[in-house]
Amino acid sequence: MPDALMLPGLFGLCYFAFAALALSVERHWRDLVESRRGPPRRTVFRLRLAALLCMAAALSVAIRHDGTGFGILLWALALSAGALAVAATVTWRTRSVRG
Amino acid sequence: MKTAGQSGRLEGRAVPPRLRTAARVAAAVFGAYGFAWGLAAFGAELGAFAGMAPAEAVTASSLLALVVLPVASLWAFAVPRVTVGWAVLGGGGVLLIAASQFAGTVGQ
Amino acid sequence: MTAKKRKLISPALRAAMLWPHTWAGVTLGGLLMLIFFMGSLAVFASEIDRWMMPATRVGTVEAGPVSLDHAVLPVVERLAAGRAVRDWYVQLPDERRPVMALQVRTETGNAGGMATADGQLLPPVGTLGGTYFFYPLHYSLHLRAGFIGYWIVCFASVAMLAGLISGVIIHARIFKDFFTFRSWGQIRRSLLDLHNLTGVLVLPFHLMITITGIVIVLPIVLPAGVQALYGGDVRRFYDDALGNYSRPRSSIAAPLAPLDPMVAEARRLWGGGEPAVVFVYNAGDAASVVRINRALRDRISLDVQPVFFDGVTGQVLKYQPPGPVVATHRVLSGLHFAAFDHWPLRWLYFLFGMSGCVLIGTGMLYWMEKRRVAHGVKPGVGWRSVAAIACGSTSGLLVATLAMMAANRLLPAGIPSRELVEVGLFFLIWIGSAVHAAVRTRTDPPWSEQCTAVALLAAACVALNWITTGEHPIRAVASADWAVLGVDAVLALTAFAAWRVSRRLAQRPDPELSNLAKVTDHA
Repeated sequence: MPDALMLPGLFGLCYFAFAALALSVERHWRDLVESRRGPPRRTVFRLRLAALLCMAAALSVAIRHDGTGFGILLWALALSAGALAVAATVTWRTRSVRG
Repeated sequence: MKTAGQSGRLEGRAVPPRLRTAARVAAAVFGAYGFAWGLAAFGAELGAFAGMAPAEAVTASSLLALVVLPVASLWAFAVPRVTVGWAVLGGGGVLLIAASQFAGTVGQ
Repeated sequence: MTAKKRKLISPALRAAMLWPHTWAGVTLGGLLMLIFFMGSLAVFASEIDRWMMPATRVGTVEAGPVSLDHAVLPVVERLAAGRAVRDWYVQLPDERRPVMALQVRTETGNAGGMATADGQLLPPVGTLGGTYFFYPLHYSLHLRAGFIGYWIVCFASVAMLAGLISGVIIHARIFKDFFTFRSWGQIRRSLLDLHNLTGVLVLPFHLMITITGIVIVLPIVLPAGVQALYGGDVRRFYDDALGNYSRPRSSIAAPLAPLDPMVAEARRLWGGGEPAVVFVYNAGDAASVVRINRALRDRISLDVQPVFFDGVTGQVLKYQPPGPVVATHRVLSGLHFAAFDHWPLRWLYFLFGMSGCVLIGTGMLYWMEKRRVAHGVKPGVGWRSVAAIACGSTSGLLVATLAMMAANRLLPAGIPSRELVEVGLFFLIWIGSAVHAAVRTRTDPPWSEQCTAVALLAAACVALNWITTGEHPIRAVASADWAVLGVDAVLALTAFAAWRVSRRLAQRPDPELSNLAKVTDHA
């Protein structure tokens, strides 16, 4: 995998993983998707499974590119970065929804 | 006055809350450190007994003691009775240190 | 939902953890802010050095290793200036520091300097820079006597660990509120949300960085094991653990063997890798010892794999790889040091270190807002003291740092002890900001004023770099001077952000007691 693609790919996977997790939380689903009811149980399961798969894929990308030690370290920190980015996105979108 | 979750009845005597808090803080700072000290010392002796190189034993026991340290400090606040906290941390620390001294002389 | 959920963490435990979490934060927040801020700067200490020492911006190192015998030894002679040399060491150039740094200990005093890779001695840099000021401030507060600085920093770090653990226990709805940041509405709720966010989402980093920081100096702050098995002889412990070696002078003069073959032998023993630091102990003596450390660019571990040579014969005296536990310790230490060459990781360390500052700062601000209700609109001396300390240790610290960097550009090169003048200015301005905060705190610390100062100083630093060195951002890009470009970019970003914050805060109305009493923290 070319160097230039690895990092955006890694962060992108982490971002999507946490985005899926965020949507599986009732409050954010109500704010961002539809406000009448929370996410159905099946959707929650699928979202969380998708998140898990994205995280696993991110770990694999990191280790393939940087080796075990650096790979795990980079993955762990990239997860936090992705989570922060998703929190910022959720805040921004929720603000514009609420007006 | 903010005091941590205390159901403490201390042998019928009314101990002022500030003193109790001070005792907890002392237990968290000094008692926990003493306990960690004892753990590191005794652990090092144990490691040496088990055949580890001395530098290895010292490092392993110190790392373990470091992990225990903040947990022990917080436990000093979580334990319902301060005296129990001091007994376990302070007393335990003294016991461990004594055990390590004993192990040191035996091992010679 | 008829069955009662069995809680993992009982309300009693949660309540018990609140007091130590709050008071550790309030009393040690300022110190921890200093540690985290300077630590974050230390990630880019070398880059800050390039910025503060323009003479060292010599571009990338040319291909080929530095010849110790031809390039380094003459510089040592020049630094010794005729005096008899006892010991000396050289930090060889690398990608981040394209010059070599030397320290020479002679019989009558020390001499230090920097030189280019081909052996040209540079004029004195006149500053301690990031590596010798910000970085030691981070781990020892520059208090060296009896390691007291290490003890204070480690005490605060253990408190930080306790704060992190207790914080997780206290957090009521850690998963439901995982992504929650209500940046609208009551400031108190926003502060708590941000505090929880930076605490939980970056928790692995905070735990790792705090515990590994203590691990590095563990034999010093928890010497129980060394006492037990080494009778307190820390030097002997380090000799065993890290493979160190030393011997006293013999007072018989003998010439130093060529150093370059020793470097080649070290590379062979390491199985590849570059030398980073070369020490010569007992120089000119029959008992001289040469130590060569390996560069850490390509690994996490802090194990420098030191090889010790006899200085006269060039024979290997000691090369001892560490045992598994010590090797683990070196990896843990390396996780903290981040000496590796991995730019995405370095930037993440910097960002997350700053997020630690946000964590600590929002905690202090939240406490201030919460107590403001109890103290009334006109708070008493206690609240005002904590508020002033909070201001002094956040915006005040930033003001002092930027002022020192600006002074670095403004002070003339020739003044004696220039580096101490810079340091003096740092502390003077820091104290000044604290006094300013103390004097101007009525219902609120003077955040807006200090943020304005931050913005002006940061912009001034960028401008001063341009004026005094002629290196503006476009030229930096053209000459691939990423270090200076990076520092200028962060300075510019700081100026912009501080300006926005100061404008926003200046417009904020004074807090009204009636509104404050109504807010609920977890609505």
